Amino acid sequence: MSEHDKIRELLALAAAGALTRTEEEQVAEHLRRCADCANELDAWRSIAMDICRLPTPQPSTQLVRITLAKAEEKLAAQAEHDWNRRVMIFVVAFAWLLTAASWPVFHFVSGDFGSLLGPQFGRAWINFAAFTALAWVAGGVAAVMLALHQRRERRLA
Amino acid sequence: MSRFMKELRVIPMPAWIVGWFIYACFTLPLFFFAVPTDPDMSKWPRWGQALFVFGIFLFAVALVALIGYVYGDAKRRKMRAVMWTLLAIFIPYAIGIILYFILRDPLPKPCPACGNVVKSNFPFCPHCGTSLQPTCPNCGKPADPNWSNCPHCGQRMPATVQRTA
Repeated sequence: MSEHDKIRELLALAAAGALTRTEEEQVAEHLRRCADCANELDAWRSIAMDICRLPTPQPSTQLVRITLAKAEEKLAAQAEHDWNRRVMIFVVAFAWLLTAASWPVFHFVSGDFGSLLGPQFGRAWINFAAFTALAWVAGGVAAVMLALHQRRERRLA
Repeated sequence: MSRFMKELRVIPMPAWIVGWFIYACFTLPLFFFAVPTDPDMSKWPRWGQALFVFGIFLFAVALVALIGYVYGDAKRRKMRAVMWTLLAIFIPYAIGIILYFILRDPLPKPCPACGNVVKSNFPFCPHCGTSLQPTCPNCGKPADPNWSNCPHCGQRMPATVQRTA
């Protein structure tokens, strides 16, 4: 692309006053040497002035109010969604930490704390893993039952 | 006030009292009577014993606080607070609490006409009958303003499905 073509692409923006200082200097330098571009810029300026003379449509107060209310509603919903995601991450991490923490407490309270380090460790670990798995399976079954119940309730609503 | 502080206020005071009471009931006897006589833990330094006993039972306080939060939050969302609290208590490893956060309803909103707080999925206010969200003119089920047809009955939606409130 020649310099002339590059400058021509900037002329409409120059008429709208949307060029950077460097671009303005480039255009001014080129216009001193190119009458065609100078004429084209005058034509663009004329169009820009005509556009400026057109009345700017103003939105009605009700439209502004409804749009603002909708935007606020969307922002609130997004904030709620972000907050719920953070809470879920925290609660799931807490559940896993609780599972891990209940392991030494379970053994200490049952008077079998030494088995964590002793030869009975394997058997104790299997019992604990089985108990934990059972709890999570029970939780999963409860989740499915509650979700079905809630769906039925919402369908009736 | 930050969102976190606002949510903390949802936890009822009795939940905090119960949580710290359980904490004291477990930690103090364990630290002063059980740990010094335990054949394994008595060999630990005193600060290690304190860290283990007083640290690990903070989970109990957090768990009770979360159960309290489930009760308070379910109440303000007009859900079955007692049922959800019982589930949070009896399903182990906080799985009941996770279920609550997955399945909880959105926060209720005040009716723009009468000001009564109603569930956000209600298409009409149960107190004054004001339409709270766009509905299908044929079957009356909630509809999105962007839909061209009702997904429940197939009715062609009018160009402007507007809220009456």
